[in-house]
Amino acid sequence: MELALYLSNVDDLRSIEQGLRRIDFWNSPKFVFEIMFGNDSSTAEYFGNLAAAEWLENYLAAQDSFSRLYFGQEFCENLIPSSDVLQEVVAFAHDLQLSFTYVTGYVTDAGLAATRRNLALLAEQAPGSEVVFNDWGVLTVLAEEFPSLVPVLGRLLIKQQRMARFTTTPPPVNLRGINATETVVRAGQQEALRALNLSIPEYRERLEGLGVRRFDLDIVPQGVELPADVWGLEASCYYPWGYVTGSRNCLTAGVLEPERSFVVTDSRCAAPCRRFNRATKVLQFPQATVQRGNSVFIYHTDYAAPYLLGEIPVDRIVFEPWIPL
Amino acid sequence: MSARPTLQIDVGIDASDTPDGIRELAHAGADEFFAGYVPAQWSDRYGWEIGLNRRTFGANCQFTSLEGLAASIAAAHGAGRRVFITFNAHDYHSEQVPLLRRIVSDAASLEPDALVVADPALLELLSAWDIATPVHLSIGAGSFNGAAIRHLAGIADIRRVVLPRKMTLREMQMLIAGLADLELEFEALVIGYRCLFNDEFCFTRHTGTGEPFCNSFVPDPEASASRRLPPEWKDVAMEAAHAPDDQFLVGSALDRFRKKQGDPIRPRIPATDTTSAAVEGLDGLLASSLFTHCALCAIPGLREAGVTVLKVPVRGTGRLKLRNLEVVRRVADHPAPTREFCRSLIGSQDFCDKLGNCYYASSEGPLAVPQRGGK
Repeated sequence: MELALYLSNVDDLRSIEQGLRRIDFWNSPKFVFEIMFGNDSSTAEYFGNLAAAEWLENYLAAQDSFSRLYFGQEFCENLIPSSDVLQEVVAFAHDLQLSFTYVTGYVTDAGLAATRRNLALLAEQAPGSEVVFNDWGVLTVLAEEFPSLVPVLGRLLIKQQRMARFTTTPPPVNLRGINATETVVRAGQQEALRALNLSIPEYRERLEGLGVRRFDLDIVPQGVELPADVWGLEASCYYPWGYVTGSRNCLTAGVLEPERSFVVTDSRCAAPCRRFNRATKVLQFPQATVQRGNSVFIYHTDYAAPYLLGEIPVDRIVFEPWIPL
Repeated sequence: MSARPTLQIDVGIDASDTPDGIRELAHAGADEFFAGYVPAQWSDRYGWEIGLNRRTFGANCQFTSLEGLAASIAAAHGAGRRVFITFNAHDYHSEQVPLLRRIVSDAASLEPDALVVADPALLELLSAWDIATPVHLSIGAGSFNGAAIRHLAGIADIRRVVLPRKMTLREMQMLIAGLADLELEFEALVIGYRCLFNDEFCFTRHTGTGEPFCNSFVPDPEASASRRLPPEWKDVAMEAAHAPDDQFLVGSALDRFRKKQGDPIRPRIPATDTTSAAVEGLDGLLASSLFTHCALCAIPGLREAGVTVLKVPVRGTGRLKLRNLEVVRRVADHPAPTREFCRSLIGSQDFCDKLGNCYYASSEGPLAVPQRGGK
């Protein structure tokens, strides 16, 4: 199993020792937690980091360390790294003899121009690097203009339901107008929710024709149905943070420009998400989620084991010490 | 200056829309209709939650019989209107393919004017199955840039793109201008529910039972933000853990930490008097129940950007769809609709003033953007 380190913010890379450091202060008095973390649900990211650091320490006791660095931005085109930052990160990976994967997101035409600029730099300085694409336009640019870079199908283009119907207690099935039993319907739903559109050969052929040899998965509670040979492809999974949903409007950006909580604007985003957390209330929903910037994430629990232990045929764990935004 | 394009209006229908109802909607200004088709062969196996399209709330949003769908298509065609069938689930998989093929083929045999599709795998299958019905790219395809649309247009006979809700008018204009050679139509949503999240990248599930995640997610415009913790926060935590009693001394690790973090950051909300007694027209909550979200003021800007079809996505809402259609039609037909005119149609100052009710940024009106070619 290959282990990759994934960061989306160069500041996290600069302080990576802190980010990966395990500390044990769970027995501290309650007031310490209250003072440090308050009651803001977004601070769950920090608890997640502590748990992730512990997992990593245990994992590294028995497995090889990181051999690859993922870096980039999946969720917000306002956060696409500058060329200077990308150059710094590529050099960092080179110095540590880490293979490099540049992560891209879904983009408008303006975002695609910024992505193209970074791909050009990458093709020049680190040919052979992987590029995770989460947008068909980015794949097109990769295939047509940067054949030395290796495309990887990103998790946002794997449409498997993340918090669907088999997280903890399955929610009720709407049986109005259904002639089958609930058992039959649940079985059909579970089969569908474990499947991927990659199981359709015509689709895979298109992707393979464009140079795609690997895809990245979000871990999901219901698991995923992959054949042992993964259809001749390779698969990775992100751990411990899974993406659930998100938007181009952004509650955190809305702290400076309230309209942005609800709609996209043309004004330049000051990226307050790099400085602030702002979470909303989630009413009456059984699974705990964590909001970060414009997206919502979930910290994976026991259901991740089949992926991490190789029962599901993934051959790379993309480790996220922080929510990658 | 080119001729002012005619704006078409695309209205969602379901089995509650009888042929007479469809003729009524056509008379009220609907130029086109879109509908979902989920027969029992599918729903008895996968339920409503695993949909053939994105309306997974139950039978009330769908046509469930081929005969009913055929009658509606005939009524629409008889009134000179076009009909599109949605097969815009985000993804399908190989086990579903035989059944999916039968259902799509059945729907296509009724000669709808297009299929609305999101999954690139289904685009591939339509070609493999020799289904010649033209295709509209659903919002679920995530068509945020021209290169993405060119890629998908290389797979199937794409005639129209339904633009993501979460784009600015300027971004739409840039995208449309860059694709002029493809002679595509562009459609944008202008009324009805505008989810807080991006449809195309939302991996939660809508159901007819229980609350969907998005409805449980309550953004508070007045909620404060807190500063992210500094990189050295673990040092602070460990120091506090080792000497908890010392933390109540001035200059302790926690004391320094708190002073550095500061107070929560309050958003800059413009002050408005939103008490119902202080505003004109219908109560905002009632208007919200009727229209949910609105882009009437943005319609001139959408037209300027190159959008030629306005979507009224109100399947499953019964008689409310007629009211939604009427106000969109009034704006679409107006030679120069002002913001005041659009607001008068909504009839609720409370609704129009409230943050979060607009589909697009409130400042976006008619554009004056230089044309830029995309790749």
